[in-house]
Amino acid sequence: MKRASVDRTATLAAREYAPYIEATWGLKNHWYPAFFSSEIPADGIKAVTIAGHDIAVRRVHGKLYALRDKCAHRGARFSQEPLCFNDETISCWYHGYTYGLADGVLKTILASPDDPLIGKLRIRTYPIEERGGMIFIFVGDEDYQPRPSLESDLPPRMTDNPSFPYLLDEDVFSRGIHRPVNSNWRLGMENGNDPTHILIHRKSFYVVMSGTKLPLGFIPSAPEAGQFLELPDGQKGVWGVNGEVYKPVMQNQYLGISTPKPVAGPRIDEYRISSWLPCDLLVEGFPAPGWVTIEWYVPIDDVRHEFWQIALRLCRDEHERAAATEFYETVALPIGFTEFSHIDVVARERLQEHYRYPERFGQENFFAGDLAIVAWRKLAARFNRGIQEPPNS
Amino acid sequence: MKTSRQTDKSSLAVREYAPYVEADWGFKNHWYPAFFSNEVAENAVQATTIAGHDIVIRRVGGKLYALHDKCLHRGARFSQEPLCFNDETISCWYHGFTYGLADGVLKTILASPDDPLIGKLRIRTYPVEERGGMIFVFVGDEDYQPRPAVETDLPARMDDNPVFPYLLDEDVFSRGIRRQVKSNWRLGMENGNDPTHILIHRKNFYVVMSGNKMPFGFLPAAPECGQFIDIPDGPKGVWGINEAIYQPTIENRYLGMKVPPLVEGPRPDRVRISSWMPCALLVEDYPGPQWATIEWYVPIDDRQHYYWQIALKLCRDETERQAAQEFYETVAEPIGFREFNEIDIVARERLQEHYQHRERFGQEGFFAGDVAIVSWRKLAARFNRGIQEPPNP
Repeated sequence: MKRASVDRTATLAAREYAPYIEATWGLKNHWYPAFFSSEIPADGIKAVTIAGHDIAVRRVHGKLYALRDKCAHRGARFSQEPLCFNDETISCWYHGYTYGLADGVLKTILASPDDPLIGKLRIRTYPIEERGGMIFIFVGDEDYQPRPSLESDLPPRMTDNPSFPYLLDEDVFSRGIHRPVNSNWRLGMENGNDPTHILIHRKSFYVVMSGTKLPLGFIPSAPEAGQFLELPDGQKGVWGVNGEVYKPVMQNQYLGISTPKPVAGPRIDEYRISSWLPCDLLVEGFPAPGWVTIEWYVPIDDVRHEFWQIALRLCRDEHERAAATEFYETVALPIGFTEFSHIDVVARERLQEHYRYPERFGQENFFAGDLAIVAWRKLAARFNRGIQEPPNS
Repeated sequence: MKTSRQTDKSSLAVREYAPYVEADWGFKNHWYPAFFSNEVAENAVQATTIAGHDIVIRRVGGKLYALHDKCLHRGARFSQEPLCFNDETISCWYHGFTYGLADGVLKTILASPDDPLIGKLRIRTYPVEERGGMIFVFVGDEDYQPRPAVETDLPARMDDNPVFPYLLDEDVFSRGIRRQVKSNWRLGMENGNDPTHILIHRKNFYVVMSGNKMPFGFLPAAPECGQFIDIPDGPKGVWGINEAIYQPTIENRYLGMKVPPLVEGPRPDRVRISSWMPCALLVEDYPGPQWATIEWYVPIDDRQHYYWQIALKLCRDETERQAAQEFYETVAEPIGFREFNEIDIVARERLQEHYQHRERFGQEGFFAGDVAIVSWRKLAARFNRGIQEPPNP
């Protein structure tokens, strides 16, 4: 009886974000982080899979080239054994099919220099940009026009935050990590921007040692909680935890649980979270006051995503930069990204079994605390630039 | 032509036990063993999957509660990280959805104590009973009425066996093991009650060291072989090996093989076997004279089952109980359940690939020795309380 009415609500909601439910392989025609700059040395070749696209990246004289990581001859991957005879091409290790880095056109075949295929075959290339110490690739349709700016797919500059470190600014310290997680990318987004998932962090060292207690969760308290954030450079987002539009829940009488008053001193619960297309989370105030974290949940395929975390801090001189480095290496990375965030990874992987059926997105029993997830789904349904099809479909 | 005649015969047979062929996920609305009592300590939470039902069990104040192991919010399993704030509820580790143990009703949400979902959402509960040192769960339709007694789904008390140890009696010693086998549950039943499968045991330590030779098999010798053991309002079964109605085959002239005359002494081949709904096997005089073994082949999903074995013995005083314990630990479990029965597990798993296509149940080339299997199938088709549907995707 009650179940039936809840199901109907869920179905109605699902209709409002139907494209999102189909986005098992991610959203296409967006910029995604692929590597840290330091991961591709001069003349290095690396491969990455984003939203089902297998991509090989080569750096020559500082410039980056991205091509489909699959030879048009017999399907071998260049990255399986990188082979480059000169600065303009990449060759397949199997039979020496040699493609131009800039245009993907077949320039020669090692053992058949006059082959009629030469100049005719082509593998696709990908737009690639190196900004803020990171390498971004525009993944989707090869002919998508006009190509949006990288900024449109990054979290925006938060102008009301006086110490906000914007990733692409010169005076910003930025360090981070990325690792594969065995869950669909959406379970990353929907854990990060979920204002009541903090229950799972209650026992983390980071929380316990800070002397603060996390609230039981955050519940929307203003209409802005569910509104779209649309910024001039094209960024589209929604709020997660934000003290101005959410209120902390400190007590549950049924369970006889209440959160003790926070002690004096630096508070780790004063953070602000927002989600941004295509798969970014901005956390102001983490892993410490004055810092910002960006997370990305980049689709690899339908059951895995690459979990990115970078810590950002404004540093106006070398002294501040040295302090930021030390804090990153001793606290932000080991205690924040590794210890604190581990349970987030666990939670996503735990839910994967249930959500491997796409229709489960939309069959939830959402409560007041889930406004941020629903708003995110609607945002993604409204502003995505296309739903990524599975490879070779 | 021979083949086509056999096929015709077997399709006739299939018609007689069609529901059995469909029972990939087992039979519903039966009692199944879930745990040994000592596996669920006071306040402990344990999970199991039976016939596709994910079930979580908690013990509070000695009493057991069984619920669907899946939160209605976003599909997380309680058992992934058991969380209980009090003695009346179980909470989801992710967002603190808190359900009553007794009724499954949503009692509170940690961070949304006044949420309208409270009191409306409900997860299903399962009847659970603790008898004879074991925990049984009634698996199937939530509204199935009237609920049968546990006794109806246990092997019957064998009144003609003067030392028969009935599982639920006070003066019975009972110990056993459970393991996961990668085959459909029916291959467990159809190996255990098969009077000619004993070929696979011929090299067992248990058989060789006993000084006896097993016959090559047993063939039906009386009409009772194929009859149902239909106890009114009680267990339903059929015979496997039973020397009163089966005759041992001790010679094959074509192969020039003959079982040597039996030596004097205790004979391990004097077992009597019967199969019982929903998936139990009773073996009298195994793993030693005057003992009985019950095996269960409890469906987990369509390709795995829990293989249970318990050894039972009447013990009228503490001395007998100690002797039984010593025999169990030194012979019954290591030599009987583990050494002797290992090849049974291997046989089931070897057949799984073939029988993964359900229509293969019924396409066999059955011979005289297979009466027990065919009559088991007919029994199951006749007395099951419903075919378990696969869990909804």
